[in-house]
Amino acid sequence: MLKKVLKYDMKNIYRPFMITYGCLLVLSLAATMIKQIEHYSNAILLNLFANLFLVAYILANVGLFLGCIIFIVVDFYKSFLTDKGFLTFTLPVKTSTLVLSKVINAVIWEFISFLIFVIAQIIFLGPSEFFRIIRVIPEMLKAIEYFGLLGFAIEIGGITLLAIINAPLVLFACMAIGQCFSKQKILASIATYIVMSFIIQFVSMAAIFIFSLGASSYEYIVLNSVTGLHAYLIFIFLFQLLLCIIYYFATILSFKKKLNL
Amino acid sequence: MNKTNATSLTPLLVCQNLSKQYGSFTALFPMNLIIPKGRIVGLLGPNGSGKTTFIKLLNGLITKSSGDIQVDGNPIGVESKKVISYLPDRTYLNMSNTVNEILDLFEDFYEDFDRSRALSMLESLQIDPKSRLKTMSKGTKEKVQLILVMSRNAKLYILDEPIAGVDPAARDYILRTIIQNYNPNATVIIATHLISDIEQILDDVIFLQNGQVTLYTSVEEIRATHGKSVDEYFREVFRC
Repeated sequence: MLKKVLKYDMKNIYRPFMITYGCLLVLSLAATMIKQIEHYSNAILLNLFANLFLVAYILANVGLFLGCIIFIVVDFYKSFLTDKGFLTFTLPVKTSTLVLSKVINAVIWEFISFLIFVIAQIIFLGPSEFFRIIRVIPEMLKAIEYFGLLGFAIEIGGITLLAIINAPLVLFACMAIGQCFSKQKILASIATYIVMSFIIQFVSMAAIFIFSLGASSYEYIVLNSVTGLHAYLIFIFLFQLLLCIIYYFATILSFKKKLNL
Repeated sequence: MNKTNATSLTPLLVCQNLSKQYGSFTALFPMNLIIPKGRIVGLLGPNGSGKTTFIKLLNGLITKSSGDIQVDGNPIGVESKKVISYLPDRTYLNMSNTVNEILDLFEDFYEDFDRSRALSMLESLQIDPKSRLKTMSKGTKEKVQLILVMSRNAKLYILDEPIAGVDPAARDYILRTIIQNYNPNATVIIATHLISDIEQILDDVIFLQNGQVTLYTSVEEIRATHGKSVDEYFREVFRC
């Protein structure tokens, strides 16, 4: 059943993504051409235009990831909390399957967006320049291994992966909790997000403080206590994992116990 | 309607002390109700009487405050949703989809969906399955939704205002569609204000007022006891 739900979730959302990807790739081609103006022209106005365009291009790259989250959140809101929810929640599918499909859908689009970002950079920088940068990566990995930093790399990789999953999941949970209120559901969702963010910030700061005990400063740990930094990163990984589980079950339980369409 | 007594006596929907509260407001007072298989039931009441709340509870769109609901022996959940075919009082489909895409969705999720029946009904209403919902009029969208709902071989059909948004000619077609396409062992619950239009197909009626069931009887009983049509009796009971 998850496969079926995921198929329709992917289908429902692909249009805005395709338009965004198309725009970014066209902008990349345009930026590549405009970049040449800087090289070959001395006209101030033309250079100003070229620079402004390049700034706009950088913003478009940021917009890709921002758009990605917006599309995912809007799709979740429409599917569950508008009139379309009358269809979603009357399908003979478990609530957990519906939510899990949205999470997988979100992560897939985040990865595709990253891939499109990489392709856009290949177009913008040119393949030779891009692959010159890419060639540095194996050397970096060797250096990481040489200096015994592989553990850090794995920990940071794990944290990044969980952050990718958590980014939409926290918003799903806030919307699901917000809909439990009889009035001002969107306001309640925003309030839930603010409270959650405050708690997460508080716990993160407390963790830094705890892991810094016995050290004169946070930098001290980073520079001198490898074990302390490992412990801190593992804590962050486990904390992110715990948040993932909390957000997921908060979303499911809010819909199961307090659905209010 | 011709039904066997055995079918009519088998309960399909059982509500025990079912209630719904929104904060301090009681939308539905504790309700006990048994609706058997093979009946067409009119769920009637003035605005704010609790019809939509009751229907939403049956479909799991809101959660109950207390009590119990069983549909074909199952609580509200995946199993009950397999046997309930629900037509809400609003458009719940993706407007950018074509009718064919929506048929695919229903076919994928509902084992009891009969695509050929849906296509035949679309053809008789001259609705092109390749057209997108956003290009259709409000009435046509409602017809598409009704076709989807009535193309399932469900055990319980719940129709919330099925004829409210369509012209009188289409109303006749819709009522014929309901009668011709529902499984005689199934039950149909129709919530509507247009009583005179539907009363010829009803077996039973439920009157709801201020979140309470004030009457649950057969149409024949109303006619025999009060010498009035359901519409006339409704107007008398709920006179403002």
